[in-house]
This record gives sequence, structure tokens and C-alpha cells, in this order.
Amino acid sequence: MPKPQGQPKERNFIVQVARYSEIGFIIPAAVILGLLLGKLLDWWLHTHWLMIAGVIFGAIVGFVQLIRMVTAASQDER
Amino acid sequence: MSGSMQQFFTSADYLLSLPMIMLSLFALGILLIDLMLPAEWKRANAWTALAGIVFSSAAVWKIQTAYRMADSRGQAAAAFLGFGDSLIVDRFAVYFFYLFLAGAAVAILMSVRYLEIERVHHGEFYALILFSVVGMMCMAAGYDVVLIFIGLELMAISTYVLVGFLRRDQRSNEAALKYLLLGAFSSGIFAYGLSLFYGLAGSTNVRTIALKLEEHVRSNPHDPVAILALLTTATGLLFKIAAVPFHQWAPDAYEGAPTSVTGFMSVAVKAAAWAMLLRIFLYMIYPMRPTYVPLLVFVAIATMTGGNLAALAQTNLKRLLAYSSIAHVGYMLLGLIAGTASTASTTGIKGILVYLLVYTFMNLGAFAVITSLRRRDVIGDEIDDIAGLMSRAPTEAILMLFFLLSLAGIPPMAGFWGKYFIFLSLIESGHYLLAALAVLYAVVGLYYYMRIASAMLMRPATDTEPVSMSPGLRLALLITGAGTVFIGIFPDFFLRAANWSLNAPQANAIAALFR
Repeated sequence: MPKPQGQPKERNFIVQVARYSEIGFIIPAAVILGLLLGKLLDWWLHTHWLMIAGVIFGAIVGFVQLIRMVTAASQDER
Repeated sequence: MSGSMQQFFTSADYLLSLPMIMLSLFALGILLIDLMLPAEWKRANAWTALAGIVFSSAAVWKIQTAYRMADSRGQAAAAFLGFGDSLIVDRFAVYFFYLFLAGAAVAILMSVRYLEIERVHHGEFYALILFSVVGMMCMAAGYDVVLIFIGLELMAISTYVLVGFLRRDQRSNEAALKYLLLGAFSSGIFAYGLSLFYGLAGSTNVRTIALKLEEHVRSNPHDPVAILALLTTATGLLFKIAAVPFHQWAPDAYEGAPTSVTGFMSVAVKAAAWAMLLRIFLYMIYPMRPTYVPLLVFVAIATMTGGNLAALAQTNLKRLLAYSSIAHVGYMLLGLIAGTASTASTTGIKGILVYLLVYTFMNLGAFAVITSLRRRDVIGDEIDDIAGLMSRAPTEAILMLFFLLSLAGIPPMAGFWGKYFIFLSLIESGHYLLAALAVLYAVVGLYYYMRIASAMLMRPATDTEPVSMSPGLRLALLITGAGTVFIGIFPDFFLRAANWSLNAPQANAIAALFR
């Protein structure tokens, strides 16, 4: 059966939508994950400061990942 | 200092309109002097325009001093009303006057060399900028819908001409025509809305309309005429601030206009439209807020979505910044939603004022860097043109990075404070979902600003010629760069200024009417 012609384009569009929607979530998700991990460690080790460290760590990871995405996208453009 | 109806023109009227008189005199002076100036002396027009701005600022300072003297005498300074209560130079207006003057001054500094390169160095350019600032002042200080509308048209007509100032450039002509047609259309809708309010209230005075509207809404909350008046007025206002779905003019007008004019439009013209919008939404149609807040929520979400997603796909710097400025309008609308949620908190409105202030510096700065890329044979407004800027002009590249980080709202840059107060006001007023959405879009914003930064810092230069800077452009970059970093690190003075402009007793008096 021949493939419908519009399909690759559509898939490409969905891939793009997925890629762009990832951008919005990357930093908040990393921060929340860092916060939860920090809280978990705080609960386990009976400390209070690991939550803040987790938030900072999450923010840094989020930023680094975003910058990696930007660099990859600008290499695609070239 | 209320203007008396018996006397046609009082000394109070003179003081209150002095900033506008100064600008008009200097603008007319430029038009006259320009005729006598030889071509190589055209720069003198820019200095004359700057002198006009200095004199106008001094006049605004004089009004501000009058408020301070009233405060120190322990009197609650009443609103300074003039011209038979049609002009109100309250603290809110004073704040905006300074903002317009600063935006115009930086735009003039950016323009001198740009106009020389484009070979359109005519005095009319500076005169039009000054006239448009007079219009902006009437919009911010109008207490009568007729004056507000006249101010709007004075500003808009001057800007239409400025957008099409590059007469031989097709893009500029196209942009001016689109802006003119859509602008005239929206002004028509706006005027229709105002005429309906006149019909409902029997007056053109903002305060009288508010009082009559309060009675009217209480007796007839779903009156179709009032709702139609609200919708048409809001459409006109939302068009002027380029909110989705009334934003189509902005990218074309921003791309085609001379770069310095684009910068001017994106800060001063936008601030004026915001001043007018706040005056009308908070002072005039405040009794109708149960009707307009849902509308604003829809428009704010559409604006953030439309602006941010469209900006992701742009390759032209001016178009990208145009879409990003649409997205910034979305955030500011969130501040208005939070600000109208309760009369007790002014955080949302304060957020808008701070946002407009920091936006003036960071966005004009970004446009100043783009202006510096313009050469005789290179337009310099594509992302490829900024590639490798770090190796060609490190100072400009680092300043551009500051402006981009600030636009994205990263601390310790100034842009952070604008977003901070808007998000804070959303959380204070319980709009958690809107706050979460705004944060997601802020990250999307960071992505496309980083695209510019990545091209600038990591890609090799496609054009190896060094960037040459004129003294005016250097000064513009210095002012905007210093503003962006300084407000970010020491925001206290500027936050107090925003508070000062909102603590006006007459604003509280008006809010008290509707409590």
C-alpha cells in the first residue's frame, strides 16, 4: 500500500511541536526535580540545606540543557 | 490648582502643559532651522531635539517639585488638573513623561549616524519624534477622552511618517502603509467605543464617565450597549499595545521601519499606549471589570502564546524582537489582570510600570546594537549578520548579551524585576495557573534570546569588517547598558519611583469610589 504523501511532513510537524514544547518545561522540570531530590536527601540525612542546593543544582542543569539545545539547533541551521 | 471654567487659560494650565509646550517649540524650531542648515550641519537638528528634551524634562521636574512641596507642607497633594479638568498631570503621568523623554532621547542618539548612512538626514525626523512625544504626553495625562484621542492621533500620525521615513526603501514604504491602514482602522473602532461611552454618560470627562458607568452597571449589569462600548474601546487599546489577535501590524512595521524608529516604537510608543490603556481601564471603565477581566485573561494567554511561539521561528533580528515585544505585552497584561483583581494591592500595576521602565532600557539597547551593524551596503538585521560579533566587537557583544539576558528576565539584570513583580502579583491574587504558564513561556523566551547569543558568541563571523560606532550610538549604548545593569543591581530607587507614581491620592480616591 502506498504511503500517504502528507505523513512525513505531519510527523515532522509533531516532532517540532514536541521539541518546542520541551523548551518551556526544561528549566521548571529540572528545578522541581532538584527540589524534590534535595527534600528527599534532607529527609534521609536529617539536614535542612540540601533542598536549596537541589534547587540551585536543578536550575544550573536546566540552563546547561537549554544552552545545549540552542547550540544543537543553531548547528542544524548552518 | 484646579483649572477654573471661567478663565480660559490660567497659570496652572501653563505649568501643567509646559513640558508639551517646550517640545512643540523646539520641534517647530527644528523645522525652521533645518531650512537654513547646509547638508553637513544636519547633526545640529539632533542636538536641538535633545535640548528640547532637556528643557521638557526640567518642566516635568518643576511639576514634580510642586508635588514634593505639597507633601512637605503635609497637604495631601490633590491631582493637578488643568484646562477645565481635561488634563491631569498626576504622579502617574509624571512617571510616564520621564519614560517617554528617556526613550526619545536614546532614539535620537541612535538615529544620527543611521540617517546619514541611509542619506535621509532631514530635520523633520527629529521634529516628528518630538511631536509624537507631545502626543504621548496627552495620552498619559488626558482626563478627557477627546484629549486622549487627539494625543493618540498626534502620536500615531507622527509615527506613521517615521516608519516610512526611508522613502526609497520598499520595505519601509510597505511597513508604513500597513501600519497606517491598520492603525486608522483601529483608531476608528476606538473612537466608536468612546462615542458610545459618551452616549451612556453624557460627558467626555474620564471621572464623570466612571461615576455614571458605576450607576449604569449597578442598575443594568448586562446592558448590550455598555458591553459593545467596552469591546470596541478594548479592541482599539489592545491594537495599540499589539496584543494577539490584534498584533499583525507589529512585525511588519518593526521590520520595515528604520531601526532607531523601531526601537523608539517598541518602547516609547508602547509605553504611551500602556499609559492610555491603564488610564482607561483603571480610571474610566473600572466599574465594568467583571466583564473585562475574562477578556483580558484570554488576550494575555493568546498574546504570550502567539508572541513566544512565533519568535522561535524567526531569522530576522528585528522581526524576532517584534514578536518578543508582543510576548512582553502578554506578561504585562497579566499584571493588569492581577492589578484589577483587588483594590487593596497595587503590585500588579507597579509590575507593569517597572516592566515598562526596564523594557525601555533593555530593548532600546538591543536595537542600538542592531543599528550599529548597519553599513552602507549591509542592512545588518539578520541573525547571520550578528554571527561572530564577539570577535568583531567584543564590547557590543557583551552589552548585547546583557540586554538579551535582561529581556529573558535573568537576575541580576533589570528585566528580572519586571517579571518578578508581575509573577508576584499573580501569586498574591491567587492566579497560580497563569503564573505557571508565564514561567513556562519565560523559558521559551530564554531559548530564542539564547539563539541570538549563541550566534554572537559561538559562530564564526561571516563578515570580518569591524563595527564602526558613532559617538551618539556609543552614548546610547552606555545609557541603556548602564540602565540595564544598574536597575538590576540597585532597583530600590526605581521601585520607589514606581510606588511614588501609584500612591497618588486621587488614584486612591477613585478606587475608593468603587470599593
